[in-house]
Amino acid sequence: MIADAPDIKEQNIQELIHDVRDRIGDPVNVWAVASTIESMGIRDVDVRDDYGRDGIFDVAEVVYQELKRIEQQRIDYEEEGEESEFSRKIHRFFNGIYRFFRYYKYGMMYVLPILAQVVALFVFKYSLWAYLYFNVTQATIIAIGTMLGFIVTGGFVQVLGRVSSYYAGMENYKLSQRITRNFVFGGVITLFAIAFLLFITNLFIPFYPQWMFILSMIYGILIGILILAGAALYALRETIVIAGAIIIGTVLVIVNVDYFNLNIYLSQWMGLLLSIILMLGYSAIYFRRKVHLFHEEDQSSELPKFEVMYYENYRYFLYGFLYFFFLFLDRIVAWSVGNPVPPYIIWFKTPYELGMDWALLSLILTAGVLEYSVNTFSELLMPLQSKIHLDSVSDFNDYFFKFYIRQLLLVIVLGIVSIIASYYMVLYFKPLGNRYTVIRDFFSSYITYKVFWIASVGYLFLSIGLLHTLFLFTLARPKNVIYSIFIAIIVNFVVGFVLSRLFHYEDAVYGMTVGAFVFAVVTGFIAFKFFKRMDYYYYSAY
Amino acid sequence: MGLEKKPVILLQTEGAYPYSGGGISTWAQSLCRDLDGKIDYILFTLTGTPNTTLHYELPDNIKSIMKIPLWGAEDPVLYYDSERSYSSHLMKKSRTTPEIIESYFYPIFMDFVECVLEPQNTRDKSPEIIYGMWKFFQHFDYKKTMTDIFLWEYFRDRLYFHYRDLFREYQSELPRLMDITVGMRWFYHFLMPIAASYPKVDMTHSSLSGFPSIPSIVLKYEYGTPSLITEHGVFIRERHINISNTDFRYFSKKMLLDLSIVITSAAYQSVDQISPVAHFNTKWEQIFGGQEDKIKVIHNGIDPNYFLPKPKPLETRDIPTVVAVNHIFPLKDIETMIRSCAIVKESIPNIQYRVYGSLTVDVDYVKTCQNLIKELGLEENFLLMGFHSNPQEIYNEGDLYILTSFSEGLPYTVMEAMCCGRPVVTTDIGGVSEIVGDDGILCKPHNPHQIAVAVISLLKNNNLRIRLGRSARERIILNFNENNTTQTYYDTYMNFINRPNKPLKYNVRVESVNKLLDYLSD
Repeated sequence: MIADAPDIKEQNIQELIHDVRDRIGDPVNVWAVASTIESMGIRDVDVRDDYGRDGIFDVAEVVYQELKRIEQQRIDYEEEGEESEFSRKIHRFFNGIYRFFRYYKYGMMYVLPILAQVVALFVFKYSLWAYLYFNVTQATIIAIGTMLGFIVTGGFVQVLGRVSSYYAGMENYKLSQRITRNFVFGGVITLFAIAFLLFITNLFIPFYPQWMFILSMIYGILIGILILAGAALYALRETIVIAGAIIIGTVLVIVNVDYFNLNIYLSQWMGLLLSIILMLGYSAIYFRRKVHLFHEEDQSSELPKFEVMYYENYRYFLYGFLYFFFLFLDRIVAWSVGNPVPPYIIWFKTPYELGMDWALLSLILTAGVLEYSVNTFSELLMPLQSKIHLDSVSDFNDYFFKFYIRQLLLVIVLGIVSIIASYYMVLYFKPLGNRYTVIRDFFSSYITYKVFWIASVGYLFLSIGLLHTLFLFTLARPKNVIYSIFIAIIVNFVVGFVLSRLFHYEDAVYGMTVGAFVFAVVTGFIAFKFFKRMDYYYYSAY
Repeated sequence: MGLEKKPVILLQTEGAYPYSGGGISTWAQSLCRDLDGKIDYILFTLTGTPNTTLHYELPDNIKSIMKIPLWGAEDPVLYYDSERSYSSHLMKKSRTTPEIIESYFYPIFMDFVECVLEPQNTRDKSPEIIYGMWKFFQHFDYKKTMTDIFLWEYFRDRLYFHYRDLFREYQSELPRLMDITVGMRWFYHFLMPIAASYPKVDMTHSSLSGFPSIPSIVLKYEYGTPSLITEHGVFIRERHINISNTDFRYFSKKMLLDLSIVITSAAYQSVDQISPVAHFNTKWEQIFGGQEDKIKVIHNGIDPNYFLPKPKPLETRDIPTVVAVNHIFPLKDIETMIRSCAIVKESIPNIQYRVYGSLTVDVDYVKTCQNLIKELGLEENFLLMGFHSNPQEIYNEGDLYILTSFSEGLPYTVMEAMCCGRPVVTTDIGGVSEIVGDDGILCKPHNPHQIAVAVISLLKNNNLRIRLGRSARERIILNFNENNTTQTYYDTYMNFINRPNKPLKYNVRVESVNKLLDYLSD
């Protein structure tokens, strides 16, 4: 073969430089160029004939040097963007507003089922497990069942959400399905086991008449399974389905009581069961569809061994359990004391519960803010890491510290607004008390107002603590949260117990408020430390 | 009479065997199966996730599998160190205090970072440093150590000062914080084999020179265990190609490549023999520290009793047929094959190219090929046949076999086609010329004209075609016979096992590692 003339060889080299640059851009080293040239099918013998060099590595050296020169020129002549600082600020502002409403909406979706229950209760008198005209005995039954359902399943819900969404996020729906099944089943077994144990205990030490206790346990089990079924869908972000199932179940309760005159307990159990079946049924269909879509039927994926799963998740399980225990502890303290002495160990107190439910509205309204804060936090991390040069790491940390302060202020401000809004929203209906006894009764006791204000402040502190918790969970630091909630529980109990025994039963609510304050402060100290060194804590969040 | 104890070999793979198919998996399965009764194996495999399914029915001489999931596990040591009780894992974590990390791991880590920043200048130290790190993790927890704030701050600041000095005039081109975060996380994930405990075996055999070869390095130091690396491609070359083609930022690419170079060089320094499957890659091995006297080629082989010459089937008997067995994706350069078909058609109008291979690997590329076939009016001449599970039947459909890839290692399909007595027309890339020799026609890549001329010459010259087909089969039987390959590996194992092998830990010169070893011995 006649060798190409020198001009043609240099032209070939220019083309080669162009081709290599198209493939790999700025090369890391000369071997990256050499391996790329080889992968293009160019051989040592071709290099001599076509490029006038001894071999691949020689021509690679030439190409590499030229590509580095081109890269250097690019750096020299790179210009700043045209957008002014002012328009960037405007752009960021409107972006922030949009993001706030977008995530606030997501956050409100999660509390939609609770809102639906509250609306149903006041409009139709019934919800899935509440009734405006329950007497105190009946209310006690429901309350104990509700507490049992939430506390026992709290840990399962927390871990189920975490692990199921993890596998779903990796598009491994077979494992997501398996973990959902295991945890729902595990939660159900645990509910029955705890209920049975309590039942046996009550047989030997009759805290309550058996019929009361059995009713309570049935409610507890059904509410617990409902929560587990909801958690399965929550992990898959199918919040509309949760709300729909609960609304349908509630409708069944209304229809059963109002049109078929069925007993309230039976109606509510049927409503609960229907909601459970709808949610679990939807989960089953969802997973079957996804497994089919991703052709996972024949895959035999395995879950990690039990002790591995235990080690990776026990802190989250513990948090879930402790969180709900914290939430209900003040009620247990308040309802186990009073003048006159309650007939049973825990005896429902209507004004107290009304005040707590009223205050809960403010927590519900704040939920969207937490969703916004934690999602914004996650969204900002990577882009900022990509922007910040190594000589500006302190700027990165400063930015996130200021971000944290901004979110804290946002939760506080919106929390205060929520409290005021909740107060006036409900107070708006007070004039209707002239027409409706139930509304007049709602506002009849000063205890309701007292508990509302104190609990609202408590829930505000709780929101702050939850904000910190979400940040810490995002950074894979559950251990710090466990210590915080544990301390908060102790404070909640001690303060509530002492005050309710020394003064009035409703002063147990101070326990919740002070406990929530401690929770907010302890998690706050930890979050403060984290946000000052976000570069490290982000790196080690795995 | 007692049974003689068989040697136990630790066979190291990455992501393929025994969880997915492919060339390396086929090789590993054949090796283990053929040495059943002579050698016992423990498999060590790095996987992408903890969730894997066995793809093969394992022969009886594979006694256990040690799997390390590099990703997808919060605390991976719980997956692969399952024999250690849960409480002892907790004890290990509690022993791993910031003081211990600072005193004994931090100095080794500093040395390791220097190796990554200057991989070519620190080759003699890197095996010892890797051993030192492994030794530390036999007593202390991996995750707790690697997420220590001291290490992070050192790594961050060291890289800042290193690149600040390199890019004095262009501060805007300093690495970003993301590069450091990603880099340190990559250390954590890819260096996971450094945290595992390995059984004392008679020899280690790694299927590539990358991260799976870490056990070879550490066991060489700890017990003097002899080691062998088989290189099907060259890990570090493939790594350069793959990483350069990613969207990673410049510094992230650099860090990952430099980390890979450190491990590869350390492996080449430590092992007793480096066995590429063909000669063509040896230059890469030498560049990265593989000494010439350690490099000994062991060709892959196939079973000549499985790939037998047969007459063409009825459907192609009277049609001049060219067969290819390739998944349809760009590396195989099917477009050049199509263009060669167009040129051949001018001389042989009823030519038929039949290409067997998956049409789902790269759907866009399949469309490109289909459009080209249509554009050149080759719908009757160039047929994409899809996947076929019995390749030994396919080769005999054709008069000759064609390969137009522009990048290959030592392709099994060429061996198989030659074994079926079919002459080959192939691009001269990778180790193909070592397989073909003078018993086929080699062409320049991306040259449809040259390929077409070769195809026409074989189709029009019956004597040449038949002669080359016969000699092709003879060449495979003599030089690329699976039995010979297996025997060579067995002989290599026994040769090294029967030599006296001293642990290298007594000759460590790196100060930070010696400090740790002294502490541990106390």
